[in-house]
Amino acid sequence: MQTRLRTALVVAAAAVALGAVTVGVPLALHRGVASPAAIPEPPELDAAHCPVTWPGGVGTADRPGPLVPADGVVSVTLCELPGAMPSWIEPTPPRVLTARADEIVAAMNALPSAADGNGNCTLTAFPTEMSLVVSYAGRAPVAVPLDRNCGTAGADGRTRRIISTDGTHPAVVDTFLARYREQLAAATSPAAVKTPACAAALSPADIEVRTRADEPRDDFARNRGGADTFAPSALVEVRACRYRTSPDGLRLATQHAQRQNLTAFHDLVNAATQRVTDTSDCATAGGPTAIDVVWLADATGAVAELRVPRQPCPEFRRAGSPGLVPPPQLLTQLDHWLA
Amino acid sequence: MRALRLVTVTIAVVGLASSTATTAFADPGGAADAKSSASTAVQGIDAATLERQAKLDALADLITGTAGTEERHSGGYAGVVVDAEHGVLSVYWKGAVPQQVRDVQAEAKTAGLAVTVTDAKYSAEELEAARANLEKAVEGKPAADVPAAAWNSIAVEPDGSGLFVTYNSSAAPQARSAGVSAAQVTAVAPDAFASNAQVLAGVPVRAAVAAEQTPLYGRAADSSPYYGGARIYNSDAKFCSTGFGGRYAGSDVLLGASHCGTSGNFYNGAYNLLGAPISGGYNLGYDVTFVRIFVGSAGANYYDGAWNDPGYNKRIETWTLNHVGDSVCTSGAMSGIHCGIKVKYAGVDSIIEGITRHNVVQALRTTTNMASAKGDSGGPVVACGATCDMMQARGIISGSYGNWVVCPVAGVGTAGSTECFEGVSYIGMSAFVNNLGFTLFTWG
Repeated sequence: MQTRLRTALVVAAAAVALGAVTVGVPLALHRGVASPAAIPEPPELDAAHCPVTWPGGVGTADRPGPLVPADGVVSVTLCELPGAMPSWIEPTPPRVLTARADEIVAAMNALPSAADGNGNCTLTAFPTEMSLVVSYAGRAPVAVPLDRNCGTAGADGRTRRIISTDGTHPAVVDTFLARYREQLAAATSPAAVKTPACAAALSPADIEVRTRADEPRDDFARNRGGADTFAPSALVEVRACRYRTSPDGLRLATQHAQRQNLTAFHDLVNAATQRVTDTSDCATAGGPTAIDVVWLADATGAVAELRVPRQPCPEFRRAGSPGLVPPPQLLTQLDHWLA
Repeated sequence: MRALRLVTVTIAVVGLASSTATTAFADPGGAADAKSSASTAVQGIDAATLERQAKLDALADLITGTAGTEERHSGGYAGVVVDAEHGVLSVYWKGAVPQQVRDVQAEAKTAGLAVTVTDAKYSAEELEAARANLEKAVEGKPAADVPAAAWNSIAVEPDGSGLFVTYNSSAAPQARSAGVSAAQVTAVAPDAFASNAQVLAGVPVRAAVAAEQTPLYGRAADSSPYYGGARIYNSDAKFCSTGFGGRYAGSDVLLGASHCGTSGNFYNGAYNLLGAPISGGYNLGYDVTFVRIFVGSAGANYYDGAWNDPGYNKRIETWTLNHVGDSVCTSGAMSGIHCGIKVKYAGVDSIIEGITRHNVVQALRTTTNMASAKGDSGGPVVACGATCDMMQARGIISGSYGNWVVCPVAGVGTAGSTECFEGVSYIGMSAFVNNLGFTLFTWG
């Protein structure tokens, strides 16, 4: 016992000494609060007008005037850099909004001052860090880092308050994404929007979720805001694929593709995906003996997948969620299509 | 010999009191298991002091019982302060001191410890009622009109002298607060704030400017049986830590912080599906989510080493209440084990993200460079029992407390490029066990 204690104390002393060395390197001082008089240097931008490094907190200092110039706006770009810890969410390439970009600038300039608070920092390790960059005709672009921990957006010595809609997306980003989806939809020919073909067979590995990568595909998420529904843009095509068990696994039994009259089904899907606490608690052993796989393609050309195990335990599965109790109307519609 | 008898008796009492709230694991044949590796734990405090702390805590529990929480009391009890270094338990009592306390005093003396009893102005019950009155009086009111509306933490002074309130001040930009609107910030000085709060609470108030505690979002890739202190991601890829294992609503669960997510899937550090919150299985006031494990089971251990130690872990013997002066350890996945963290207040009402959290314990580092970091949220807070081989669950990490400190080098001292704090706010285990129906898995 005494020996163990001595060992522990020696280890403790060594660790304290190591700690003294490591903490002697001030690499991670908090971003801190900018002095009211100090105007931070604007971040260095790359060829796409995005910051090359995350500039850190913008403090709470503010001064009168618009956050960014409102005249001569050509585009607004949503830029992302990697966050503090790696995850499956990678930074999205720059999204450049040219249509109705002035609305985003107006929304940015309508943000309230942050100078009346204490900085309001939370401590989430977000997977990416975001900035909005406004580009102009005849003027250098202005980058506005969005510090989601501190709830601030800042540029040129001005700091404004941003409010999150879901703990991840600032409302101004929700607005940007809504306009960006519209821009994508306007530039996408509906005829070119297709759902994937139904696979002829599914193996247990195709539908069993063991890791994040096994979950249903959800390309809608990239441009979905925090307050948005699961499928925020109009659906262009739905493809339902029904699989039944056979001696060699789950085989495609029937399928149905539809491109018209999708509003009611769209609403059903969005309602079903909101029922986040209504979990089905199906046992996973053995897997389903019958399952419907539903592919959705929206007006932006993005694709998402829903899995609806039917037997022996009905479930409704989307990316990022446990199995939910499926709404009867949704099952009825699928039966109508796939009977 | 007398000291040994005291330990045996008091631990038996604690074990009996918590037996309905824990599920004991059968010992498979030794303390080591498949996840174990060499110890790198730093306790930061000598063994004799830890032994005295265990004895003094047991004495304190004899006075209060263990069926309640740190936030609710009754009778003349005002509070206790543990001074393990000197072997003294200071008891504060309003009114006639009952024989039960005198008996504890006598028992302590035979064990070489001291229990002092001091007359208190208010009982804890009275001060807890005053706290409720104050919170109700300022509810929905702007701090511009009622400065006390800017409170962000209300603690009962352990000596029964009144309330200790911290608040959001526009005059102290370093006291940055999470999710605080301008309506919850005041420019008044602490004396003026205390005067306003005192009128509303009806008891003496001491006030100080402090940042509202902020949530900490952020060990590599755990598997069944799942332990506390491991990495966990929610479906939005937020990085947090797992708390303790146990049973809730008929399922094996891990405790997590509610601000790390109350719905959707959770994944381990390798992005493998771990589980999801039980439907409705969260409590924002106690900042807890009960994460049901899909496949496998919850263990009765927690990771106790550095953030990058692959498996060093310790067993949980029981859970206990927190007392002012106790020395505890945090062990989140982002920054690993930190000990020598001393409890300043227990049973505190404190605001995080605009939500009033209850039964909060606020603690500050004494011997270590830091107490918590962004990414440690949900992680375990523990204390040594009679020895440091069998540990007591004390709570789960909810947020920071105190000032920012310089972080160790990312990738060496912490898992990532994070932010570090001198203190920690955690929710006492009693809230989960006694109030929410959680059964802690233990080896006790």
